[in-house]
Amino acid sequence: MKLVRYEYPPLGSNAINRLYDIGAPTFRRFGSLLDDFFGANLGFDQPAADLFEDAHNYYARVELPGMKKDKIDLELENSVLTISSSETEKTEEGESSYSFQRSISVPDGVALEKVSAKYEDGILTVTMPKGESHKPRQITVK
Amino acid sequence: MSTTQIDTTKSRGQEAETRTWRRPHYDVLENDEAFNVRVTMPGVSHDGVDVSIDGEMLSITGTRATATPKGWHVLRSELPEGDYHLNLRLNVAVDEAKIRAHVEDGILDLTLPKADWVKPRKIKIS
Repeated sequence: MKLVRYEYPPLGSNAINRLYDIGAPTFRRFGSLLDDFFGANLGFDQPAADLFEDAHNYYARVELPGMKKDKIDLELENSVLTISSSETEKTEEGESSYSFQRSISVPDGVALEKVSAKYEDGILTVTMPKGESHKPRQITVK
Repeated sequence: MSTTQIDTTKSRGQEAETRTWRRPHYDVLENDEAFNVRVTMPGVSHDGVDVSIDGEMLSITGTRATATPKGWHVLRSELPEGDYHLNLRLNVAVDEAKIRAHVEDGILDLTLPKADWVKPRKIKIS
């Protein structure tokens, strides 16, 4: 088998921020992982997530616009952070239900009891403090 | 979601800057009185939204407030970078003075009331 580097197709109409917007509306809650490759209309809802680290914490950041804080479920088990929600929205035209789930693997050694989360402007930030044994330690050479 | 690099000639002072733009997802609803445009702009607060209307062109810009704090190292990065920009062409006259915008939880809600002369009129049969 030969591996060939994938050539990205030239920017199509999907990628260009068109001045005249004649396309169909594309409203969705968030961009999913595969948007850039397959266009924006796949049936899956898996929000994209970022993972960061500093000396004391790991941070996960997920875009979840338009959510209710108390409808977001967070679970951290065996180094896997799972963010999920399901919601039924009642509008004048009827009911629409909506759900998603996203799991991110997080490095080992999170102090589980100190995990906190903040939701602001549609972005969820989960702060996961590192346990004592996983913090960087300065070792002096004698 | 598409990320596109566009040279903006928005002159802040004298320097022209390059910004990365993201075309946000949006949705338009219509009723007898108004159009309702919902644009998803996660990370944009009330202060970061700029809506302008020029002739029939509605221009929406959302600047994200959340910068990655210093000292955070990226372990995995999936979210697209950039601020939001969307141009919509209106084909119905709207009452520009009565446009209302509201931002909550990363969603911009725009109400564009139709101009009086384009609203459907009920005619009573006498």
